[in-house]
Amino acid sequence: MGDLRSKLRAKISRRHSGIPLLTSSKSGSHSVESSPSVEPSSPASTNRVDFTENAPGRHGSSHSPQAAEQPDGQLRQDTKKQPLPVSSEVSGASSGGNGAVEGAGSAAASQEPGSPSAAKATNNNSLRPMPASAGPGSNDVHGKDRRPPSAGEGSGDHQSPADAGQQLSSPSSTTRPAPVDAPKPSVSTDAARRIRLSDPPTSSNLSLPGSRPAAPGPSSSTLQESVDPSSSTNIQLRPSNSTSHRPTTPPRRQSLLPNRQTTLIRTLLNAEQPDGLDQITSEQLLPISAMVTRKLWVKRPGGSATLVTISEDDLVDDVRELILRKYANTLGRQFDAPDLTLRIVPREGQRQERVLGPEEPMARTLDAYFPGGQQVDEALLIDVPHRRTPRASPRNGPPHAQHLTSVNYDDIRPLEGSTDYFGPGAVAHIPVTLAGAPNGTHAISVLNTGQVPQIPSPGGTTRTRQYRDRPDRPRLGRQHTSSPTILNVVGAGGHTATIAVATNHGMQQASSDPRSRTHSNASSEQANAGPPAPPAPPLPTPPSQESAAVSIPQTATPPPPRPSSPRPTSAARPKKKKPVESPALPAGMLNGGVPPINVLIVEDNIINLRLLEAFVKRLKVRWQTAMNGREAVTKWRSGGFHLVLMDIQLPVMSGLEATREIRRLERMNSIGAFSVTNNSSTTNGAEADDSKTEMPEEDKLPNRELFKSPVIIVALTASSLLSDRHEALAAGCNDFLTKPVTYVWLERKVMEWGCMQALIDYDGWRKWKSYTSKPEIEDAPAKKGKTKKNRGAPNSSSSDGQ
Amino acid sequence: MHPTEDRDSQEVDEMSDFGDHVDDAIFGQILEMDESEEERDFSEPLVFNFFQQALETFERMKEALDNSDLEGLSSLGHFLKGSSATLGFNKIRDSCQVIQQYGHKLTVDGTDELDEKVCLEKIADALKKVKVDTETLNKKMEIFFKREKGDEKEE
Repeated sequence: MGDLRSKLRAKISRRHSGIPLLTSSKSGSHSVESSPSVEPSSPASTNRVDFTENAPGRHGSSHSPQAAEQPDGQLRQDTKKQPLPVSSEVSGASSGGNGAVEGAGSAAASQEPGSPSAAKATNNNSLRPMPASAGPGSNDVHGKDRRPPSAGEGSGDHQSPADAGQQLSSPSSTTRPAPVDAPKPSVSTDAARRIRLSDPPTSSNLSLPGSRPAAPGPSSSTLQESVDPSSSTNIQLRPSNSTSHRPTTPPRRQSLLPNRQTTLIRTLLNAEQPDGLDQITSEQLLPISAMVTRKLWVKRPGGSATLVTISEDDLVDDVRELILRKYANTLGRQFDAPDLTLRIVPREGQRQERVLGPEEPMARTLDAYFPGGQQVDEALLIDVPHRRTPRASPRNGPPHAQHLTSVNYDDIRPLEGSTDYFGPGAVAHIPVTLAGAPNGTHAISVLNTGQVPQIPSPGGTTRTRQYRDRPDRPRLGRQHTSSPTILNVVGAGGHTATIAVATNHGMQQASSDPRSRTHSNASSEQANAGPPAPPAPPLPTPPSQESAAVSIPQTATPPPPRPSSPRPTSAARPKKKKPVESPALPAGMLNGGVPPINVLIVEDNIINLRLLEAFVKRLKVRWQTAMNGREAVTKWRSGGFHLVLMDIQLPVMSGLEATREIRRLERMNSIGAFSVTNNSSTTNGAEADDSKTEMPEEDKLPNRELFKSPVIIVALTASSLLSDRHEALAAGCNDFLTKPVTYVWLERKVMEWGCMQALIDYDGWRKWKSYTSKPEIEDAPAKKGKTKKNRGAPNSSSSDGQ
Repeated sequence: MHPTEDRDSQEVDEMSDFGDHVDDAIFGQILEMDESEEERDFSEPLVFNFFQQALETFERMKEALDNSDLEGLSSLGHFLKGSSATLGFNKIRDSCQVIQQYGHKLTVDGTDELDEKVCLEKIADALKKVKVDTETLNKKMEIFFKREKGDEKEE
């Protein structure tokens, strides 16, 4: 994720660099380039310098969560490589940031890294000091957050005539932290956090956001004093103080300071130049509080906490907005800011947890509740209403006025961002984004069936991956499965719809195409006797319409009238479908329906077995039978099966055990659509330990080439109990059929899963397909041999059963 | 051979004789599997195999009942339930369900029935009933298939 984002961002920034909007482009590029040296969490945002002197409001610091994240990753790398030295380097970089501030004014965007030398030079002054100042620096950081308060505290004097001056002074303090921040990366966010927490006294003061703008004035002096110890810091700041030239100095793009703090920096620098801070009043500054940021831990119940950057005077309502941005892919899609509620859980339960009102000042509340700073485990809880908005809620409105300063780069992000991050701006700019949202799965299932799949199918995950990873196919993410049981159809829609789409995609001209589609429809509406499926002429099997009636055994429907006698046309009957792995034989092309798969029927009850045999016989797929779980595993090991109809309650070895065993062996042998990648994960998996009785060699499948993909296991459950199904799915079954199994449903399952297997083994399917399109000449002899084989093997096995 | 329509309506009539013994849709599906309606060479043996299986199962149930083997009774009940459901023999299926449930010391509703005696009694009752039902259905089936063949002869 982080990678993707950073890439994206890099792309974007590159793109933007060409754009006249210098400020934005610059900042964009900065965020990318400077990021490496930026401190991971909070600092990232804090450190970035904003060059938007011209239009501060507009491009204001936009430390979108990602912005912070990206540097994070890179930073870590850095730190890894050079554990300690890094800090110095980083600081250098950060100081570079200062340089950047100077160059800020100049528009030309030459982001070429070549500037490093220049940067270095510039930085050198500041560089040296940095390490030294690190200690105090960290304090400053806090100062940054609380600056205003500390200022107030330091010399509660409001005497300072010019508010501006006051503000300036405080900003200056903020600037300092920024460079200082840099070293932190080598530390950890936590550390930073701790440090920040370490100056508790200030925090209390902080809680007066309102007073802040006024208070800071004197602080400048205070701050400076505090900073003084590290004279280096001063040095650093001073040199750069030549604010006036700054715009003209050679462009130095890298910056560690967040956009929003440019003004702060500038004021800071200005302020320090003359010792009399009060003199500088000319600068127009935003209220400090709006520019000073702080981090806020939030989390969803049960989720892990994440940081949200807020402005000092943000209201809870604003925070909600930011949270949505942070959770852009989840909450952001579904909820509007007013939907969220934030709960605060006070420490040590002195107070009861409470829902924050939208009008409460966030920072103040936090300070009140968590003197000394909020810890990770004190993250605010995000609650969302249970009612789910069906559609993603595009938050395309302009950000809250107060957040002009925190508009993201996403606002100017191009379409490609839509797949990853659903930025608020993206919608505004490119409304189409919505359509491309990876919500796809949902959308599809809802569209086609009006049902959202509900039963999670653990067994389905493997296939999901296969789907997802095949770029040539739509992302269908089949994560749910369902049973076409007669009474209970939860979620049949999603699954069948998926199949239908897959079928359409994969087998463009397959004659089964329309049929499978009708099937899906029927299955989703099964309870109400499904829409009449157009009779599929090539199919010898009962037309769907009639079968729909049959599939409702509860009703006393007379047996459906059969237009033709059960014996299908002689032409169709003798033909046997060709299994995928041996495409040498043509499949019955008169029967455009069921793909040529090989089915293993596992049933202990001879009556049921007979009927299932009759069913699959009529479906014209190859089959074999097993009467217990052990036998099933044995037969499966011989390879070549695509589908297993597995009774759950079996003697010797239950269906679930057999399923688990099959799955285990599949893992051991890395059977899957992506065997190579699976290899690494499976070889060191603990599965090997499971098989105490069998050595890995024994687990090895003899005909590995016959296992193209994990076999589909459809559980046959006697009850329609959900618990049974979950158990079956958990064991590794892909699907289930409720007994009594009806022909219609069996056909559907064979069709759906068969198509899927055919898609997975696309080459095999194409061979099969090409054979079917060849003239019958070849067909005749092959067919005979095939038929014999088919008839022979299964019959013998079934007679075994008897 | 009858025209299809006639055949079907006839089937309906015949099957209505089964009353609530048989789920027509499911059993009808079995009949459809016959490649030849004259021969009924799939459904007929299947049905009578079932009765054979049922009788054997009843024997084993009785044994288990004598041994108070609830677990065995439960699995036997489950076993026969499966095949009876497959054929659409509802009454038999329901009784088997009762046997299976009480074998697990559960009532039909799924609540606990901890008293083994009660369970055994219930199972005994269900077994008695299922035997009667099976016998009845067996006769009906014989008539049904005989008539099917009788039709052939008439023709």
